[in-house]
Amino acid sequence: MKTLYKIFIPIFLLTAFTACVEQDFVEPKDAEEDSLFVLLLDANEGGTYESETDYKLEIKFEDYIGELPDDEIVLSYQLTDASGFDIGDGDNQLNIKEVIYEIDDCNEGELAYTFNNGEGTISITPDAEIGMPESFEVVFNLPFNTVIEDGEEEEEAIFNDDIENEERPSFSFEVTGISSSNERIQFSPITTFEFELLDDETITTEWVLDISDEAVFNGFKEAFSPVSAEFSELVYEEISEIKFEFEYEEMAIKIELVEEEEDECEAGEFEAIEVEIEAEFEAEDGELVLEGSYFVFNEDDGEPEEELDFILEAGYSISVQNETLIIQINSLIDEDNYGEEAFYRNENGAYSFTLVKD
Amino acid sequence: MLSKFTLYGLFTVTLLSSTLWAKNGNAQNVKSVEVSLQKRFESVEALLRSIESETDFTFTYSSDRVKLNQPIELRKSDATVADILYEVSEKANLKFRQINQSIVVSPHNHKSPAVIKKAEAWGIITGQVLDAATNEPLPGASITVAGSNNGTVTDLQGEFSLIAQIDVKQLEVRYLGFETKLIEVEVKESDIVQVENILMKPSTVSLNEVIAYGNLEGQQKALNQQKNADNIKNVVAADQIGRFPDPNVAEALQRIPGANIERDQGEGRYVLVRGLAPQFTNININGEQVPSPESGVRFVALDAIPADQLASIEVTKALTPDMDGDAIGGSVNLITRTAKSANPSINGTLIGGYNALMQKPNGQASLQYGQRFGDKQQLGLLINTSHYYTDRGSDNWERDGSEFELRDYALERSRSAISGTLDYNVSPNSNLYFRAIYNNFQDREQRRTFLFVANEDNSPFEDAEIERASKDRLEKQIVTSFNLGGKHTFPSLMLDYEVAYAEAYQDTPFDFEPVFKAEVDNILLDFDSNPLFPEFAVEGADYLDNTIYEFDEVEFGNTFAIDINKTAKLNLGIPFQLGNSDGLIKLGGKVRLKEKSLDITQNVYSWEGDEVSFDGLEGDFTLEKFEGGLLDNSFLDNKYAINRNIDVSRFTDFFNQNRNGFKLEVDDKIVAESVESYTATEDVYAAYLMGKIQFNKLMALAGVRYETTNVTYESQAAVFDIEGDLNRIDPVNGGVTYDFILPQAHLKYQLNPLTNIRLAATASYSRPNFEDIVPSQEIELNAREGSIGNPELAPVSAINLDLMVEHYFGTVGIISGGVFHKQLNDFIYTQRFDSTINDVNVVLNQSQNGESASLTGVELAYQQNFTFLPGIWRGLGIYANYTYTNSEASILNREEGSGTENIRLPGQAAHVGNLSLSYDYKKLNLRISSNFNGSYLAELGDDASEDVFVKERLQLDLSAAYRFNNKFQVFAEMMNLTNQPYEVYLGEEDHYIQREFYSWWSRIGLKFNL
Repeated sequence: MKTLYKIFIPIFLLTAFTACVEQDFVEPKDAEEDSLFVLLLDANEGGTYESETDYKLEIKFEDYIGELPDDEIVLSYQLTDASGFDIGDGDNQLNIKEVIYEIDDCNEGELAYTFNNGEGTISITPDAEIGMPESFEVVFNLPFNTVIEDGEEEEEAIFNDDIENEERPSFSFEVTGISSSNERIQFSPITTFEFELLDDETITTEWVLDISDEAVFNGFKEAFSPVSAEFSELVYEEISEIKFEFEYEEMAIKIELVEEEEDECEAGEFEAIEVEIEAEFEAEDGELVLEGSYFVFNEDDGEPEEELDFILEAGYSISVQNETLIIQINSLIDEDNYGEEAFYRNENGAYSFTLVKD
Repeated sequence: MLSKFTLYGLFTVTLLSSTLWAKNGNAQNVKSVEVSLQKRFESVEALLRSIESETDFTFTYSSDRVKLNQPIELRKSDATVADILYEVSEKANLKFRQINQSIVVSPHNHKSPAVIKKAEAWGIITGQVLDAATNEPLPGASITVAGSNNGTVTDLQGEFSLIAQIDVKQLEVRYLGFETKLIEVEVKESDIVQVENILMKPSTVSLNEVIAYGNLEGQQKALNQQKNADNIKNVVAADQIGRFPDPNVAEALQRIPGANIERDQGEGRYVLVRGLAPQFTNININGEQVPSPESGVRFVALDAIPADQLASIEVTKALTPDMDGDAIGGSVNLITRTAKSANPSINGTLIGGYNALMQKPNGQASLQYGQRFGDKQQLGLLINTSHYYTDRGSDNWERDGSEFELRDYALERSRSAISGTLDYNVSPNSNLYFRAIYNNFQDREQRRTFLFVANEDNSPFEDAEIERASKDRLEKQIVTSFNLGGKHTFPSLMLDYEVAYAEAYQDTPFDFEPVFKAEVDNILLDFDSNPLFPEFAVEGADYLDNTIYEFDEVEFGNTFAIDINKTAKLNLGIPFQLGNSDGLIKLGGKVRLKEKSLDITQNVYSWEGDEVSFDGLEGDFTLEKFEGGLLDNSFLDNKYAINRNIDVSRFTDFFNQNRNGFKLEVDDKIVAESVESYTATEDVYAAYLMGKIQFNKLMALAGVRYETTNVTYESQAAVFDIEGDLNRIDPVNGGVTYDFILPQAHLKYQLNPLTNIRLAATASYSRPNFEDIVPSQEIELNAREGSIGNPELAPVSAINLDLMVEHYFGTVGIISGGVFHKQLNDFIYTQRFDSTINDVNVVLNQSQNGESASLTGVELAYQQNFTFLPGIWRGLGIYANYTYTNSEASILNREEGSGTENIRLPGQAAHVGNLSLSYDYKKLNLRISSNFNGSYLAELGDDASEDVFVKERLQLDLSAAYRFNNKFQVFAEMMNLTNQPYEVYLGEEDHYIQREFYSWWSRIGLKFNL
């Protein structure tokens, strides 16, 4: 037994104290056990037409694990850096008109908020039907005057003028705090949204393409069909209007069909069917670049097969006086067709369209 | 439920059996027990009861067959039990047979068939064969009845148990390198004769001079076991493992003919036998399959097991029916050690080393204690513990199309193990044992990368990017095995049984990788001017400037995979005689219940915030704020400059402080964790019947094994919608049952005591990997592709033919040559095929059974010690082997999409070999060893030009040892002297896609045997 004793001790020590590899590491907070519910601004900058009388800023929960907690959340905010805007409770001032959320496609709910001289709180509480809303919109009241004309009351945006402005009205919306009994509910580090009112006398407005001449429509169809399977199937007789809408860094080409469909929220109300191309755009010094993506459809099953990015380069000129926009498209390429393989390229303009302000 | 009850039943039977044998353990011989009885008894039964009352013996009989009511009068009242029973036997016409403490009484039938008479006229001879010089047991010694073919072979403890007829007078004991010895014995009917220790002496003076210092012990043990085996196998003894610089089991196996290995970071990891991928070889510890700690596969990473834990390694290349049938390539058995003698054996090693690449030391220590206890050394205890630690690394470049990556690895690895054997000799012919082994392999890997992604086509939709990533990962592989069993030899029966529990898990508690990216104007990559070290140039930025790299994403992951085997088996052997030939019928059964599962956690975060503030630095979320860790200033011998990379722990600190800015990719998490996780069970039931007979010089062994396997799987499928968004996660369950009837036949013809011709025809199969059969699915409709498991995947089945001629040298050596051919059916490969899901056409990847494959090879081995040479030249020795293999597999034509094409089997190298020259003389041993692995197909591409091959590799190692005396020895080893890289190429040999360098590493140490 003495031998055993003498032997077991060193064996035990050798086993017990054998150094293993370095195990130290900083454990990241667990995605599930320490999961967060992070509210964030949908964008940190944006803007709308000067003719608009409100603007909606979306605040939403980032993707999360599990279910949203029901704990009440109170956001503190303030409107700062207002330039051109007068902050106040009046219609002709900048303020918060309402805070709304979507219950379903046809119904909205409202969240309680306070507004006091550009500061206030928004209380986010669960809805009886959908629980805690996944997202909500802060609706800013952009200054307007109420005009009564022909017996009808209309809101007339006070910044809606006919001149090109050098400086644009702007403001910032800053979330200054978040409080909740649930510590897992936090706000994203980006807390400020910067708003800028767009100028209708630049490209940022809605333009209509006159297609009374079928040749114009055919040219339009030829120019954009490579990046839109829907456009390529359009028939002249089925089209009522083609509109180019340039918003804050984003644009859409919308084609309104003659055919109408019933509004899903209001029975008996019919709206024209629209097809569209969306893209981000940059317009500077007469050069216009659209960047977007489109689906390529499978020939056999007709389902989307691939999503490809495209770039459209054009020149443009605006006549403020005539309220026209001339777009001269030089090239169209996508991920599979660029360089020598571009859909088309002509530095002198492959296609040219004259649009009229809507 | 049935399977569990079956297992529990076998457990119970085994434990009861153990208890029963243990109780009868101290069985005395009837001849040695004296009794004092009255002379006259009113009946024989009264006499027997009287003996029972005075001794521990009990009489067993059937009252229907045995009449014990007649009176009897003894000639003597004081006598041995045997003498009394002789007298009763004559007077009452009865027969007595002792089985331990029981004495079976039966009527004496003079007209019994001859074969029964023969059987009853047998006894058992047991003993142990030892080296006279060292008193070490000699495993694999041949024990035959002189003048007959009846014989056996000593086990690892040098012990044997031979069932022999009572007319046996002499035993012949042979051991390669030792003088043949004749032992006088006398066997009486139903008697157990224990011969005294058989001490063997070296056969020649010159050999004695060498062996006196133990230099050839390993080879002797291995070759003796190999020579006397019934089937084709290779054996590596522990001593021999120690002769080569092989710290882990995989590296020890690379020295065996027909075996090659796959390496990880320069260290051997997986073994491939006869050119077949690792999944075609099963790995056993003490005869039971080791579960795989890795999640998707069955094969075991053998670098998890330190070589010094083992007594020997056996590689069986032709299966016998009593072995698991799922081993087409071969079956590797790792045998742990057992206590040998009453003298305490304490030995161990202390090793220190150096890794040239990392410029860091490594170390190893092991300690083993073994001793037998009791007046008859019945109880044996052996404990072996070892620990190995190394800092390793590699400098590596890789290419993927037009992407070029520099990878700088730093690794810390440790192997800790403890094994033990407790065995108890109930009687000379009964042994109970409990074996356990625990292996703990830990691998901390830090990988720092530069990935250069060129915008090769100058696409306006792509950027030239450089990606910087730091991976920090800890992986633990724990393999544990417990075996409890017994072996018993009776005059007409041999019995062994075992229950085993084996568990293997791979725990990866952290696997973190933050990634930063920089956009640059252009990256020029040139793979052609110097294919060995491609050149690159970065335009528009300094790629070593860490401030240009902005955060992209971070992945925090961990996984846990576990594989458990519960096994019970029972084997019975019944000796018989056919004419003058002795034979053995063997039958048995086995149950193995497997549970395997994988759980993963995968969290990928992007950054939703803006500028950052960390550790006094403010501004963009760029790499320089988090840099840290090692910097290799001579990366790939200064072929490329690299800069310090991300310190993962610092980054994680920032992550924890700024959680609300990191966006979790929830869908990716759900998909990865659902689709990759699974649980599976696999229940295997097997039974076999085999017979072995020795006709003069010819041994024939034949039989059949039946195995049925019932597999169930549970996983989940992720289906994405046409926009590419996750649509749903569905549970997916699957299962399959398959059966195999596996006939096996072996012939061994002994041309002379040193030369054998072997022929074997065997059937075997190989189960598919779990990653192929688990019915998880990931189908991306928008990408129109997906991968799905195939629970209906059939195992690969094979017919194997082997012919081998081997001649052993008396001076310890062998020259052998053989050919083998394997015909594989249902060969498994990944197939791409069109399918329609939700009316969408998709291309699916799924493992499928192929047409067929064949593999043919030649295996040569030459091992000799030139002790016949004069003077100092007698110390020279050579160890060489070479295997040529050719394979052809038929699969669906990848380019045409129809018809078939022929490929080489993945993992099959045409040329594999070893050449080792040694100088053993007196106290000195020098050895230079080279191991050659030919190129092999590692991965099938979409067509032949995209097939991935691992290039041939020749590693050169040097070792030297000096033995001061029988107790102390010092040694030194240098590995990978020529800095051989691991190289991978695509299609053509000059199209390198990976070159990884490890430099050399060394060890110097002390071995002691107290």
